Amino acid sequence: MLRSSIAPGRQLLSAPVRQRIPSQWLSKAGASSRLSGQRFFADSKPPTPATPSSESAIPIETIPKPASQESKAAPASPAIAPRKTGRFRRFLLYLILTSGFAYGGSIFLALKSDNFHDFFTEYVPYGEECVLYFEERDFYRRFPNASRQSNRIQGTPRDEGKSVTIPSKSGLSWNVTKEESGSDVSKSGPHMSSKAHDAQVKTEAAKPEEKNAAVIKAKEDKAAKETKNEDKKPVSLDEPRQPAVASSTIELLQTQAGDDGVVQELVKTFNDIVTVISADENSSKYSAPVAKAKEELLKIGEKIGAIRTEAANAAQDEINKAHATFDESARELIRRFDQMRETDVAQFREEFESEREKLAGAYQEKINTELQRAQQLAEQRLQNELVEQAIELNRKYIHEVQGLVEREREGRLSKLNELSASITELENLTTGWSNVIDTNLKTQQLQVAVDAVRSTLERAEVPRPFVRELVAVKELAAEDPVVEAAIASINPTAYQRGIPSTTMIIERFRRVASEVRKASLLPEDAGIASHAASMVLSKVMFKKEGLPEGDDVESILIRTEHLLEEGKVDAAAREMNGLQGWAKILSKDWLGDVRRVLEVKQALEVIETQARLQCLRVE
Amino acid sequence: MADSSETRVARATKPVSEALLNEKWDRAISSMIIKSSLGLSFGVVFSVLLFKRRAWPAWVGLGFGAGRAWEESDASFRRGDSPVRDALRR
Repeated sequence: MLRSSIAPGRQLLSAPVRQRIPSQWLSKAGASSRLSGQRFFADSKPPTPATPSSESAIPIETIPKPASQESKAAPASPAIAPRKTGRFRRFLLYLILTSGFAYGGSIFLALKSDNFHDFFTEYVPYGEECVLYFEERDFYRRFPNASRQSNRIQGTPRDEGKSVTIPSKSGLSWNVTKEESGSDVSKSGPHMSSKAHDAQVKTEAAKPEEKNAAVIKAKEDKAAKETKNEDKKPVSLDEPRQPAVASSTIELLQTQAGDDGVVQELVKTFNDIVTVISADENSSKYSAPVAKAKEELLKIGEKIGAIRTEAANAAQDEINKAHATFDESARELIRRFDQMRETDVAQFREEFESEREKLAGAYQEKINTELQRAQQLAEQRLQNELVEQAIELNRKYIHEVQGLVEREREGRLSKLNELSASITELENLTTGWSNVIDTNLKTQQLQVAVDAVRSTLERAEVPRPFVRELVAVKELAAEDPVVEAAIASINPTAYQRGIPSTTMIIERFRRVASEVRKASLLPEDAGIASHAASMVLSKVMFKKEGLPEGDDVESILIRTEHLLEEGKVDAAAREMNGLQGWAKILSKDWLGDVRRVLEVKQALEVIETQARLQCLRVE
Repeated sequence: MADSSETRVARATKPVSEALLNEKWDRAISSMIIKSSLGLSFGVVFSVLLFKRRAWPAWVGLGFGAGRAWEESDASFRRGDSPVRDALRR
């Protein structure tokens, strides 16, 4: 405690000392820096001699602040008032230079590293502008054309400065088919409409003129055709009326039905000429030569008819001749055909005969081979049948022989079996007898052992254990289940400690009875007072005689005593079991003893009867 | 007590059933004597020390002792066939 109390005190003591050291050092430094400090103060005032003293009077804690300020300025401190402006300028120059270098360097660095760029633009005043300027310069140097583009780029947003509205159905839509139909270029649409429209416009513009032109053309054509038709009409021969008008002067030639085509043509041409002539005004001039020509023509026509008939006759003759020649040649042909057929028929018949013979031969051969095979098969089958019959016969014989042998054997073997059966019977009998003897022995031994147990029990003056005797009985019983069960029914304490004899039981009963009588008048849950009263009163009570009826303690005791004297231990125990309350509690031990005795007796009886039963069973 | 000597059975663990009440009586009487004498002696001492040899503290002490003994024995009789268990002996 003391040390700990002292330790902070020491620290407190040492703290001012430590503080004083820098103060002293500062005061030393201050000696040099005093003037500089004065300088700051003396910017407006001339130095006063009082300042050092005032500075020394300043408390120690406040000194370090000006000292730290002045220590920086200490190297430049020996400035004197006259050289003040020069020094200030130099300071300014340095300042500008250093700041310039610093800015330049930092701009360079900012251009180099992004990290520093962020820092510089964030925290240094005018840093961002400088860096931006340099960056822009760099950019323009790299892309000299960028300025125009940039202008254009600046220009475009101005256009888009208007509110750009997007139509409701523009953009992507789920409706694919509609979109396709819209975007199908091949189909006629508004994108093709300019030309079509132009064309339409053109047609519309040109229509009146063109239509007019076409109409005019068509009209002209029509007119021309009409004029042509009108021109042709007088010339055309189709008109029958004109010549009819003209035939009033010159008759036309009539063509005959039977005339030849050449004649008819001639007539036509002539008629044309006639019509031409008749159309003329001075047709009469040519009427004579025309008539002549007509005659000539008729003549020519007749001649031609004659020549034709002649030719026809000649042709008829030739045709008849040709018919005759054809008939002859046909007859010749028929004859030749008949000859050829006869020869062919003969040849074919010969060939047919030879073929038939060949086929007959082949079939004959086949039939022969088939017959041979059938015969062979039949022979084989017969042989097989023979063999089978032989085998069957053999089997039959063997069966018969076997049957005979068996019959013979059975006759004799049955006797042998009888013999063996009688032998086994005899054996069984002998073994049975030996068994009988064994069991007899065993039962005898068992009876002896049981007798031993009984004698030990009856002879004993004092209860004695009879374990050995029981063990003997158990061994002799040889795992007889009845005997084992009987032994198991005996309480282990009975044969370990022995059981009292009948006389002992009676004696003990007398004692128990006196005690029970004392407690005979006790109510349920009796205290000491009622116990005392019962003891006293029971002395005074009369004893009952004979065989009293009733459930009270006295009569039960008397009945039990009677039963015991008669030797009916079992009934006595049953009577005593009917007691209640304190009487039962007092007689509990005696009852236990009696029960054990009874158990043992019963078990012994069971074992004896079992032994007797075994004796009987054997015979 | 003669029974226990005769019958070797169950001598060690508990008394024979017919001797149950007798033993209870023995216990009751002995405890009566002991406790009443103890109470009497206490009463005598008190009377000598505090009450200027008056008689009644002695009688009171005797009564206390006897009453205690009575109560214990009564309880033991009421307990039925369970053997006597004395607070002092066991």
